[in-house]
Amino acid sequence: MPDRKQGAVLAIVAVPLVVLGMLFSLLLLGGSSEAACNPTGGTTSVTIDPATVPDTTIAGYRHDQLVNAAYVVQAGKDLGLGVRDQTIGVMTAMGESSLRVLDHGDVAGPDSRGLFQQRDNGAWGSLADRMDPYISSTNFFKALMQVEDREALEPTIVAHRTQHNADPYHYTRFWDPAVAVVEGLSGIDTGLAPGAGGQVCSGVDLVPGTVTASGWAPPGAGPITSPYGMRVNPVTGIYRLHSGTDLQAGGCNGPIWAAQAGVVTKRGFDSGGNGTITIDHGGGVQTSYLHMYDSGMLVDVGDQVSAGQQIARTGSSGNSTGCHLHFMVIVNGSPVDPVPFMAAVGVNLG
Amino acid sequence: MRTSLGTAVGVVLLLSVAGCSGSPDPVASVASSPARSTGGAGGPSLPPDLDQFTPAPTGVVDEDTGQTVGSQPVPTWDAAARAAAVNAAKAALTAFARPRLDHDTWWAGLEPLLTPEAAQDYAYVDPANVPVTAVTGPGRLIDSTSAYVAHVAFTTDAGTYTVVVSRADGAAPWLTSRITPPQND
Repeated sequence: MPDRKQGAVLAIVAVPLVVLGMLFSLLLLGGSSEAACNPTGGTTSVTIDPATVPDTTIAGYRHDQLVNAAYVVQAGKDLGLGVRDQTIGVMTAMGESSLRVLDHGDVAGPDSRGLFQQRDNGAWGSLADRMDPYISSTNFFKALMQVEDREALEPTIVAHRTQHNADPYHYTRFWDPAVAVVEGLSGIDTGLAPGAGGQVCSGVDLVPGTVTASGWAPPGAGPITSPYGMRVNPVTGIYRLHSGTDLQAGGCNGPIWAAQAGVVTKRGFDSGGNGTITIDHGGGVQTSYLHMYDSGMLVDVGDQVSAGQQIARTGSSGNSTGCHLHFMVIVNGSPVDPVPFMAAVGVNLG
Repeated sequence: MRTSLGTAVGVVLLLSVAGCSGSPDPVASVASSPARSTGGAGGPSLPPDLDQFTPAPTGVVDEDTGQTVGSQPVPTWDAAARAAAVNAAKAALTAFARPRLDHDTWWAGLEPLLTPEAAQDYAYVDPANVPVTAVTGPGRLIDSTSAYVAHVAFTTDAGTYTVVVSRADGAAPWLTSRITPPQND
């Protein structure tokens, strides 16, 4: 089973709208870091002095809570952590305590205390440590720093692998307020994108696609690099069905869009290592999108998506020799040629 | 301070933009300028006659996936499928709701019921932090838009949990991808 490192080989730095489609990519030899798709990287800290936090409210958090956020940020800075990690710390404290130094726990953990609801199990220091916003933040970050390949993990998953809480996705919804608080208190545009609490790449805005009058959208930009049909595989030499239309789709990290509204029914890797998203549009019609890396699959099973919504970034996982989109249309369980199908709904592929 | 995006924009590097075959243009092109999505209003608009599209011949092998075309039955909702979806969701939530077990024992019961992607994430849960210990009501299928996916709600001693289960095809088992607690805050 492929692991999350697969997404790390090529990482996007920027998708400037003025040169839409031109992707500034870095080939990271060794491939263990997603830092390049997180524009502030893992190295640059922001500074917030808890003593000078203004008497204001940000994202619903009041002065005393913002001061605690400042302690979190300060503890991260003193450990040399970057702003993404610092923001993950604020996000986690929001999800655990609403940025309050709680002197009580909860049903699952009656012994939990403080900003991070750290338990009395020896891992998080004394009661005084756990009730101290700076020390508890420091201990949180020391544990966070042990999370392997955290730059290649979603913020909520980094927090979860630090906290080992019951719901791995719990912190996702606290990412946006955490970004707002960090940016509001520091006065710095961190480059961390809202909506990315459950995405590996925190710094890349999503690009909506083009929706036709019929309600369908091209799944990716052209040109077509290989058509649907029976063919001899260029790698294996075996005569098989090429079950979809290959599109360049912007090259590595280019946007992939849902061809039509529907429900995500698959998100993950098949037995051949192909990163795959499948959408059920109802009426016996599905579309599938192949070869993305783990970090490039932006939706989850059960999600409702709309036509033209960016659901993925183009990758090269599985049976692929370079970044492209293998786009499939499946009618009543069988692949059909996507070109005439999409033409019938007003979309010219490529 | 971080490197600003503006600085990075000045240079465009494209490395390794080889296609699966052929020789793609190194500068990516975009068919048309982006427009705002309609947000899915109006629902699916299918072409009038699906029979006009020739299905792939049954029995051929898909070059990319290695799967045999036509070997996987298309799922439909019926009483048996609904019962199977709810039962699978209940089994996963019941296996999850055992906070007194050590991690390895807890995980041995839960992992086989999860999708591989969910297993990557739930493997890091410390069961001691799980607040639910008992499923107290029958499952309610709250979203069955797709015959491949079901959202099932359960009352528990820790509030209403929602479990997402999915199946790869009509003959595949239902596997759990999410076990979501009540959203209180």
